[in-house]
Amino acid sequence: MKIRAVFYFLIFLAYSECGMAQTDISGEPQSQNSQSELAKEIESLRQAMVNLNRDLFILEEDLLFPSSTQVAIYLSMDVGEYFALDSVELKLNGEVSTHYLYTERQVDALYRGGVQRLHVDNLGQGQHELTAFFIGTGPEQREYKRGVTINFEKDDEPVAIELSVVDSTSKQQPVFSAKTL
Amino acid sequence: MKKFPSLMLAFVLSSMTIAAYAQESWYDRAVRVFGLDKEVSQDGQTDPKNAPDISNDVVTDKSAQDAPELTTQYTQAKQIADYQHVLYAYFQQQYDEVLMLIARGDKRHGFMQLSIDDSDRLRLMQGAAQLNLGLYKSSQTLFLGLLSRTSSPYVQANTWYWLAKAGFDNQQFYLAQRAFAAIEQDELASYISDAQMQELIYLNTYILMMQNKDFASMLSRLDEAEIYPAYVYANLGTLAFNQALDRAVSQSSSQVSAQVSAQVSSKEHLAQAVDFFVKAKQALLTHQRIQNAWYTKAATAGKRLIQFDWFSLDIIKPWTWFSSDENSHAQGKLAEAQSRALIDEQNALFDRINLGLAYTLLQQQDDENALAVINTVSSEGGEAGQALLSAGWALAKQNRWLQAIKVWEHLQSQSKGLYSLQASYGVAYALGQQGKLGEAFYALDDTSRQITTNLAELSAFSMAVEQNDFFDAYQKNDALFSDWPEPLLDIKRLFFANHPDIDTRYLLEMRASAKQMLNNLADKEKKIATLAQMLDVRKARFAQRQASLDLQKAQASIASAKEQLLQIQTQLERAFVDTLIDEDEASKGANSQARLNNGAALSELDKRMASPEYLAHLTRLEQAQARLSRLLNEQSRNPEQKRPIKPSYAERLARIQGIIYFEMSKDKIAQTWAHKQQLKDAKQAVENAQLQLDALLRRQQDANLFTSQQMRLDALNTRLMSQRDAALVLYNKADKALRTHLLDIVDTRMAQLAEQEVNTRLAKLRLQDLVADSDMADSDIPELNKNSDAQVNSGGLH
Repeated sequence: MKIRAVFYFLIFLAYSECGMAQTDISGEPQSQNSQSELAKEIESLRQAMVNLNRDLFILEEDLLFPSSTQVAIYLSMDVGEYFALDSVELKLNGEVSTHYLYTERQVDALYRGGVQRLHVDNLGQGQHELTAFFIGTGPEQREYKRGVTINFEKDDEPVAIELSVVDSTSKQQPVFSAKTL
Repeated sequence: MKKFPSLMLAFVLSSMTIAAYAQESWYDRAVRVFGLDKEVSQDGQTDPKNAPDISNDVVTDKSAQDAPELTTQYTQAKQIADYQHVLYAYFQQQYDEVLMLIARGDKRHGFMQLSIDDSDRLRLMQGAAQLNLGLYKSSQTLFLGLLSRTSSPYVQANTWYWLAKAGFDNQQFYLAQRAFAAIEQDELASYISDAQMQELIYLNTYILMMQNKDFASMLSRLDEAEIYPAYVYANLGTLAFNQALDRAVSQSSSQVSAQVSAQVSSKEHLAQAVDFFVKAKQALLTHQRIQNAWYTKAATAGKRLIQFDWFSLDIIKPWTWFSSDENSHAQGKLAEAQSRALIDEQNALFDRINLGLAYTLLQQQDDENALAVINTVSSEGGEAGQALLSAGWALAKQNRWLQAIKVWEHLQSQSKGLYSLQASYGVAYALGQQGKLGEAFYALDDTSRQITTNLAELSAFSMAVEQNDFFDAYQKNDALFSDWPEPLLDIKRLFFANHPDIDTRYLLEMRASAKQMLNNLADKEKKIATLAQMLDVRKARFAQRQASLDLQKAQASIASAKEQLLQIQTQLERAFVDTLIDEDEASKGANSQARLNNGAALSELDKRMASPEYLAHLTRLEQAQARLSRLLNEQSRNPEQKRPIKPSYAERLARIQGIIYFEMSKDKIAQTWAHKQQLKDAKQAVENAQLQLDALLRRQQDANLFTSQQMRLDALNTRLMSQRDAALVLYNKADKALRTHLLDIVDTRMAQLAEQEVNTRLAKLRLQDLVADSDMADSDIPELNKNSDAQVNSGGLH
């Protein structure tokens, strides 16, 4: 009888930790009432941080690239049927200013209508020349490199230049262009 | 537990189509028809008119006062470029940058010149980014505002979709249901992807299930190719199982009549649970079969297509990982990783379904089938320990002691921590049942050692938990606490288990968010310091330039230049007037002759305006005239030496002079105009120099040149400090709650183990007594020493 009692006790010990009721398949969302205040504070803080980030970015831009000298270069792409972009090289007044290598995700974002702010620089007032070289894979899966040049005048206002790669169905080739916005 | 097994996939699919549509139609009635704004405003959270004030007392943010700096420099083209820049960040899932770029655009130009459709899409992206960053309230407010004004069905459909997700994540199930109903009733389903729609159906099925409402029709709409039906059935099985347990508990404490009904009900629930678990397994198998079939089909199709050269490679784009170029190889790896994650998810779900089914069968006393099901639980999965333990008890209940011991011993060798401990108890129990009291004693002895080890591990773990960086190991999208001590994995399960007062996962995410914010703020602090340094350098450079530039001297030079220009201008004007008068006369030749006859000489200005050729002619003419004068003088002084001078010589000189004057006067008007033009340009240059000088003078005298930027910097710094304090408070709050919760679990476990240690020693003592009382005097059970007895007695055995 005593032995039986001992072993019942052991069984109890074992099952008490076995925890069948602890099985959690449901994934039922927990009530977050106790955390609602915390969530509100976190959200408020996050929003405030977004605003702080914005103001800091603007101030930084104002300091680093004042409007009187600012030149921003954007890049946009068409669907990319005739051209798969690998990299872009920019020359400002004959000097290489940037060489950008694209990831698949970035190219994909460009295909979907995104525009990349490729480069921002400071230039003095007057005439300038921008040359962009596009390197990638062209029609027939051949290596493809093309350049485009634009002359522009910088005055007191910031200058924005858009480089674009557009598929030309008539030429069955990509067309590269540059224009000031 | 994660409720959206394919949330990210669905998001990617949704984002893939965000720029693909451009159709318009009016849709103002959404809010009116469903009374959403009225409904939501009841809780005072999501009504656009009662938008939550996100700036709390702690954080002082003047963003609400920020008005767009509308200047002419932000043309429509630039605004569109800014909008597309946001798209670029959004499609790379850089949500922080999306929000920052939108906020920057809002402040600078407000995207005022975007088309309505683009503007709506911009706000849709903003809301989606907010939702992905956990800004539920803000995103809801934004979505509701968007719905009240957008005309694009695509934007409406996607806004409802995101609103449903926001509502679900924010525990506002009613909102999620409303959003789904809106998509259904307004036939907007075609504007979202199938994956998005399936996700919404699953959410609604889940909500109906939790509300004990009829969800059968909704469930039937779930595509069997998706994993969702398996989740639904698994959840149903768990619910039924828990209900059966509840009934069983009430059965023991209620009246006799009620006991009978409760017993019946409990059996029914268990039967239902079995049914649901089986259905869950079938659904999961169907899902796997369809998935595998698709992959096989795709692979076969791809290979077949590649074999034929005349097929364009474009045809196999959906399965580009079969191609050989590098990009597609990378894509293939990505797909492979996603596929691995899906398989892991399926395996984990299988194990949990099987375990649930096994428990239910054990409750039904169907030990044989329970054992069969337990055997299907993966030995490498997270449920293996519990499954083996249960299997041992299932065998024990069938008096299959040897098999039970083998299972438990296997568990002891494979597992550490609680399951191993439980297994050692099982072994002792089984040995005792077989009358092997000596071996049972040693099994208990082994248990005692394990308890001691466990206590030491818990103690060390407790010290580790006290460290500040313990919770830093938590990764939301990775294996949770991958470096958690293996023997204490059951503590981890308890830590993450559902609890009425604390949501561990949520708190961990909040803590991680606060930590990330603190890190970001630290980065921003460094940036502000850099900017302040830059501003100081600029101030110093400006002061240096100010000292080196002699602007007074520059002003004197400009004044002198102006005076000279004025003189030239006066002369030019006079010459011009003279020329005009000359032109009025009868003939240029007569004029020249008259000028010669009158002894008129060329003015200095005439000479300055003459070309070098004419200047040479004039020089020779002057020399000739001088010679003639000299000869005439000599004739008058010495008549003896009188040399004959022909009168025609003087006449010839006069004629040549006349010709030169005539030729010079012929181009005078054109030259005068040209000079006046040059003068004008020179004046313009002087004016520009004057303006530049004035600007320099103004800047030189402007004491507030850097004040504005310094003030902005100081204000940002102040805001940053206040936000850092607030983030620190939140971080500490979450951290403390988590640490307290985990240490409570550890302390409880330590107390339980201490108690178990005492009880184990007690059991050993009693085994000794039993052996002593029985005829088992030759047993090899050792005598426990007195210290052990003392420990037992002091262990609080009552």
